[in-house]
Amino acid sequence: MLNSEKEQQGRGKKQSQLREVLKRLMKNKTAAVGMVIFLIIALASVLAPVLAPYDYAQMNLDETFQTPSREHLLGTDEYGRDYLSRILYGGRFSLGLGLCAQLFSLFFGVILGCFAGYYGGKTDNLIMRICDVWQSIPGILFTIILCAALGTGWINTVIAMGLGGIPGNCRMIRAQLLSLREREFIEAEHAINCPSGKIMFRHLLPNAISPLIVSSTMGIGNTINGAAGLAYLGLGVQPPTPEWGALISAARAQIRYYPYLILYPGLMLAITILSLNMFGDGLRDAMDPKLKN
Amino acid sequence: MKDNQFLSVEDLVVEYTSNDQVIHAVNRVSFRLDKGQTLGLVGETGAGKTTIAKSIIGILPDPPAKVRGGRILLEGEDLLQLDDRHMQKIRGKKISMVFQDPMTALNPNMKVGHQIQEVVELHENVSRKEAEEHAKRMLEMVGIPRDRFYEYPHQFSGGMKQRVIIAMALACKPDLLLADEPTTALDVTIQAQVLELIKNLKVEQQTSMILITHDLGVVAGLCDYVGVVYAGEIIEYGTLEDIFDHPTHPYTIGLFGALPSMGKRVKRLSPIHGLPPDPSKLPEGCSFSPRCPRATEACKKAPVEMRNLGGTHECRCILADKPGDR
Amino acid sequence: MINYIIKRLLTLIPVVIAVAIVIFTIMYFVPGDPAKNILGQDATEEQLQRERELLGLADPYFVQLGKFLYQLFIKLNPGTSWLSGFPVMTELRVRIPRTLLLSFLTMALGVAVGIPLGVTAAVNQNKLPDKLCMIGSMTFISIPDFWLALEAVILFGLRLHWLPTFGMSSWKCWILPVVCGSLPGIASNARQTRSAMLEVIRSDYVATAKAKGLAPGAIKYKHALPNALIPLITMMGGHLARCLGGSMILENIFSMPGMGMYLTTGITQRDYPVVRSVVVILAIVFGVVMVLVDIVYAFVDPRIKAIYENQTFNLAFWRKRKDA
Repeated sequence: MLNSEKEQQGRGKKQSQLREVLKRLMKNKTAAVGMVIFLIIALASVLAPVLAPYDYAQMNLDETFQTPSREHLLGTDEYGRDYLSRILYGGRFSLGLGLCAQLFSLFFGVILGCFAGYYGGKTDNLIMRICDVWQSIPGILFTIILCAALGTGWINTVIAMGLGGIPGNCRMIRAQLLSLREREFIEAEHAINCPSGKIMFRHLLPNAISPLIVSSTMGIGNTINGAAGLAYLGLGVQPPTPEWGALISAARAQIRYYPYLILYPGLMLAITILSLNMFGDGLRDAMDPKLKN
Repeated sequence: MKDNQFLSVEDLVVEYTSNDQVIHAVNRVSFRLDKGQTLGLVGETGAGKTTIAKSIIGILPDPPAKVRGGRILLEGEDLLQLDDRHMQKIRGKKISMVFQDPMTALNPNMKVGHQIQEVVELHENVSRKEAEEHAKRMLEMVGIPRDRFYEYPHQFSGGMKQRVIIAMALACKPDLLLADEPTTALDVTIQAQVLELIKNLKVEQQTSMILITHDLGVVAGLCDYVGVVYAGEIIEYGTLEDIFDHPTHPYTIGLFGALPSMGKRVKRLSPIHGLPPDPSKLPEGCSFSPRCPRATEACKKAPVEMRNLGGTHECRCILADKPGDR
Repeated sequence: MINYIIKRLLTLIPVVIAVAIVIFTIMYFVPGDPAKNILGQDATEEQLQRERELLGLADPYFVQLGKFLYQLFIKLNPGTSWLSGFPVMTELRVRIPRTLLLSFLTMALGVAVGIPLGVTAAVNQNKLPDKLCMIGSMTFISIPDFWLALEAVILFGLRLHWLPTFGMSSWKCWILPVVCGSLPGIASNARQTRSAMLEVIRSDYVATAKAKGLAPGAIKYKHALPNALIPLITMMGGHLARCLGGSMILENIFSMPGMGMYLTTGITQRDYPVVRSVVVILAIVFGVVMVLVDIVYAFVDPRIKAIYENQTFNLAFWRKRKDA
């Protein structure tokens, strides 16, 4: 049913399809809750300079390791920095990392996948074999190696995480294109001699993109998770940057005496990823009701 | 009301609920069937024919489907009142079903022979060996060599699979066979073979049958009675002659009008205009009235009751007592 | 079938070599000077130069690559650790079994608990067990595994003193890592089993089984479950990959001297022979498991088995299945 809808290229149809998806999405309580939670977290991160009670880098060696109190709602860390402020700013680094890495892998994955799926033949074969090798190294291992090569830091983590996601996106868009390429409306475009670039970006891609939207939504969560793991291993974002994984990594030394320093950033990670997964799950159901069970 | 009626369905109502929407799949359907007879249910896709069959054998997917009312009496026993355990004993033994798509109706990971053997073991008091032998005999009966017992469904063609399914359905000599478009998914040449097979086995085993189809030719070849289903209702019911020689309901007439005929030379076939109504928003009056060329204001006001036109011929149309004017 | 297995294993060779080349190339371009790392900041330029020549770092890229591949694949000797001077092989011999054991245990627990959970959820669709299972699995998929492990260390190790939190001196040391490591796997297996099972339950042959008069239990476990499990087999490869990756982190948290610890220390200390050989070994393990998964898959599904028995190796079919 959705496929025949997709084939309708008419504008009005497209809009009503979007509206239909949104309607279904809002009916799904889990998805709605996930979206609201994520928006709150994202908003809090964006507004961190306004919301944070202190400067996140402001040290105060008289007030180290304070337990949560009225002045410092989540306490302070080993340099007396306000932990709430650090966590609020941490959201910027964590969410930004997830988003940027995902966009990075989406961009290159889509380009490669388009070439493979549209031209087929040798191009396809070459790209797919590269993906094979790429994916024959377990994901996290590959990221670890890339981090080692690129060095630590926020931007390098983005690149490392992004590179790891390319083959998956490439495969997905290729599979979509392969099935779409055979459909009549694309044949019709060829018949009227439409330039291949136009066919690809105007006609094929918009129809192939919806599963990618879902996987990217969940991918942001996974990237945040993976990046935090890297930071924990000391290979990703480094303290004192307050990325959540780096916060946990820095607090590891205090695990025995100040476990709350590990608890809060971890909770934030878990809630953020959970909200993204809830939203992504609902989005998938809304986009393809057939898959819903 | 215990009579010796073999099967009688009375005022069956089935609804599907999806996303707060109620879909009226079957509305007040009634019919009777005698032992050894065949009833053909004819109608468009989505008219509710399969739902009727599935409610008789009790395998409606619940949720979303729910039987809201009516009775299904098999030899005087209301099947809708039976508990699961009793129904399990009836399914496959007294009533069995042949499904529409043979390609998906067999378990792909089980040898075909074992799928037949399974139903024999379940209902007949026989040893495993005997059940296997019986299953092999059934295979032969539907024209498949017995040594293909140990093969998997993917090694069979569509027609062969349908034969296996028929063998499975008839393995326990059921009293009633529900055949849900048994030939729709098959090649035309295979269709004839399978129909012939069903016909012979039915006669051999004295089985009653409900044949669901949208192919009027199949009906003419196999059925004693015909029910025309439209939007979840039986809108015309009668013997084969009643329906084929004296179609009364405008929809039935329309069905025949949309068929090419060997005898008459017609310039142009006359299709029925419009689409069947949305089953979640059925019209208030006669469900066919929006498409009916002869509909009047009265048709759209109130639901139309079944009218007897003499003998077994019944019709759900207020213009029905004036048969013959076409 | 034998033919097929051999051919499938042979396709591994180019992949492993390619992985080795990729790893070597990446490490070649890593910034930083290993010689300086080994000799310390105070070393003179002359000393550094001598050390570089000793390590073969002064050679051009292709010479280094050739030597590396020759050593690794022909002589099966990944060299010695630059920092400790011990042969990498001796270290690996002790460490590989530990990492594999940890990975396989987490994976086994993930399968043993996850699949029954998913089946329970599917057969009770939309009822309480299903909802609990879905909420639980969604939660555990989302919680970062390393953080969960740290919290478990805090609770069970530091607060309650129930379990040891580091090392591998007794079997008790394995409980926390294995349980923490398997939770995400349990959760994702449960979800995948559930949806596979639900898909099968809706299929026509389950309706056929019902029409035959089978009891609900027999339908679910005899007809639905085997069909639902088959697609799950293909996911086991990915599952093991995640477990291998997960054990990299678990080893660091629980101070278990396996390949993960070896790798991460190797990276931070720029000990290239260690890093390269660990990665290549893990890629081989991963590749072999993927082949095993494919073979099992072919064995279980009669349709696919038939394809392999008829035509020895059909590449086109493989690609189609992999990319689908």
